[in-house]
Amino acid sequence: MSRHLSVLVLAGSCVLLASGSFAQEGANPAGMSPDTEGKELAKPAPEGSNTQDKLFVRQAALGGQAEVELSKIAQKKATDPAVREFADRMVEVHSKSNQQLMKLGRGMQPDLPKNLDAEHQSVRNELNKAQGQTFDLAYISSQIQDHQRTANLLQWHISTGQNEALRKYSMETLPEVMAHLEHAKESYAMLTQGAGSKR
Amino acid sequence: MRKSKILLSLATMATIAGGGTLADSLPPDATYRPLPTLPLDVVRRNDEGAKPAVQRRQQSLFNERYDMSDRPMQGVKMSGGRKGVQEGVRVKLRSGTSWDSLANMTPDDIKAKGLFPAGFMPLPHVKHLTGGQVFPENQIKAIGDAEDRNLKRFDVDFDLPDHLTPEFPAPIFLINRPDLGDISGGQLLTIRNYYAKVVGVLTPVQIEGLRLLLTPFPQEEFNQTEDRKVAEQSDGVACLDCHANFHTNAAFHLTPDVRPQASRFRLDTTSLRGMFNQQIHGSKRSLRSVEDFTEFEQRTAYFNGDHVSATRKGVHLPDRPNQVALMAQMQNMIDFPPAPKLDPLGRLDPSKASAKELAGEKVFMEKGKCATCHIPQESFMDHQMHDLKAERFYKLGQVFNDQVAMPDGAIKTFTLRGIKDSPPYMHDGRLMTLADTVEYFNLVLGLKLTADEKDSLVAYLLAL
Repeated sequence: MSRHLSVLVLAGSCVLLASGSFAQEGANPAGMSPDTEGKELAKPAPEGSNTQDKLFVRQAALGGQAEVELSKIAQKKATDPAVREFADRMVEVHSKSNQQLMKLGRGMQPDLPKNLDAEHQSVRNELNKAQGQTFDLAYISSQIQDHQRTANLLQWHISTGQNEALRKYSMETLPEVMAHLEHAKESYAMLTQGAGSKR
Repeated sequence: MRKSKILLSLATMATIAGGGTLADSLPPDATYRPLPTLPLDVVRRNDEGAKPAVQRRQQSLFNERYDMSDRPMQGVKMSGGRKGVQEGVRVKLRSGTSWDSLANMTPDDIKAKGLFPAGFMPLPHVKHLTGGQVFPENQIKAIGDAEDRNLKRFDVDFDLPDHLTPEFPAPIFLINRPDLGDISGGQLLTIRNYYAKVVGVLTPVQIEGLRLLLTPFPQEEFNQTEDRKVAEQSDGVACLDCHANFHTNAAFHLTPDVRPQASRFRLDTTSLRGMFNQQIHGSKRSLRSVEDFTEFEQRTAYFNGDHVSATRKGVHLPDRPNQVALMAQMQNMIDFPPAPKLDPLGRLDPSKASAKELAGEKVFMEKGKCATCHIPQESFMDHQMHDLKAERFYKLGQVFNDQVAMPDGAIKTFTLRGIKDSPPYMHDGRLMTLADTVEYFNLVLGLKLTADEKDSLVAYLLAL
């Protein structure tokens, strides 16, 4: 009974938040998790989650962790001051972002990785071996790939996630990640004297 | 020396990229349509529950971006003479800016200060994360009355007011029978009435093509499975449900060209008028013949470019020599509406055009650079795709009603013949009037047109 009541209270507060509607109004309910609270009343709670939310937290954590760890190597080893500055920024921004993600995803038991995945481990090995301009280029190349992947991951989560707080996180993070990607592409162009990304 | 180092590091990169374990690759539903997780009745209840808020949310986006009022021009009608053409610039400026002040700023500056008018940004689908075809009320009613077929979705309604859409039903002009004029009789072509209208007018092959274009087939949101957005099991939709009377009724959809869903484009239905002169097809796919388009569209417009989903819901695979060719030939018979002020080479006849229209043509050919792509003697097309790079003016990745603002990339040049008949404008319908399109290109191409030049350009476009 009290549980039922709290669901109603939650649904009520969410009506206030979203000005007269429930928070998942934009999503396709065909993809809603079958155990979503309130779906029978057509009032799903905004803090419910589906398997996509859970998977997103894991995948984003994986990328975020690699981001910080690899950028820390670049803070020490990068030759070009602009690359070093980029690494500083990545460590700062992604550390903060990772914390925020962990806070939002805590309740979802997202099967978090303990170590870097095999692919990033091999990037780390390469970076540990590389020196000078070769290092800078290898680091920036890996940053381009990681930010491409993260941008796609965030767009996928915006498309399929159910948890409103987590989707808000994705929406707020995406413009920043896309700006980092632009920045990394520009750095690559600078290092290689190539075409660059400025459109 | 420097070069060899770069080569070395490129080799390193290749090793890094070749890991192959893909611990953080995206899940399949980032590309493929997932199967529904809930029964249809639960989905429908939730969709219907959310619908009022979905419609409200879209209306507030429209009102934020545009002046949506009904202000038809004096003395100008669309080609069928049944509907007015809306006047004036409808895109709203950000506070503290004017069209002239924007025109004098650099793209970087406009981007940094967030001053690009919101109405110039990509326009989201009314329910972007679901997407799919959405039909206007007039089409839903006409098909319901004529065929007892339901085109109404339970999750969304059409989002534009009637006065900002093309006249309905649109007139039909035939390139093989210019003597006849409009053959529609002011009615919508349907599977129930087409034959009597065209026997003695078209060839047997064309009539069979027309029958197929009017025959409904299963579609992503209109089909018989539980993965649909129409209440009853549906026969599907017909080609001419969107391309009503071979023109457009402003029904919209999402393009099949981009995934994930959040970054796909809204797509305003394109008119089929002048198909005979069009060399590339599909806003981004650049299909090389209308035959290809007709064949492939059974998996793209019909099933969001997902052939896996199509197979489950019942895909129609028209036979290339016996059906596709007939459908294509019928489409190639559709002419532009008459433009009595144009000479055979697509230029204004000075004895018929007004001074203002002639001034507009001069802007079109010269300072406005319009004719670079919209070449008069090629039906105001160039059979190319071009990238306007509008994202120079705004920050990428912002989300509006669940759509992520991404670069549009290259999109094909659309014809301008009969353009007053085809609001809203641009591939996604983000611009409501011709005056809006003039302001858009003035900014995006850095033209610095004067107020007089803009006015005369609109007058010229009305004559095409």
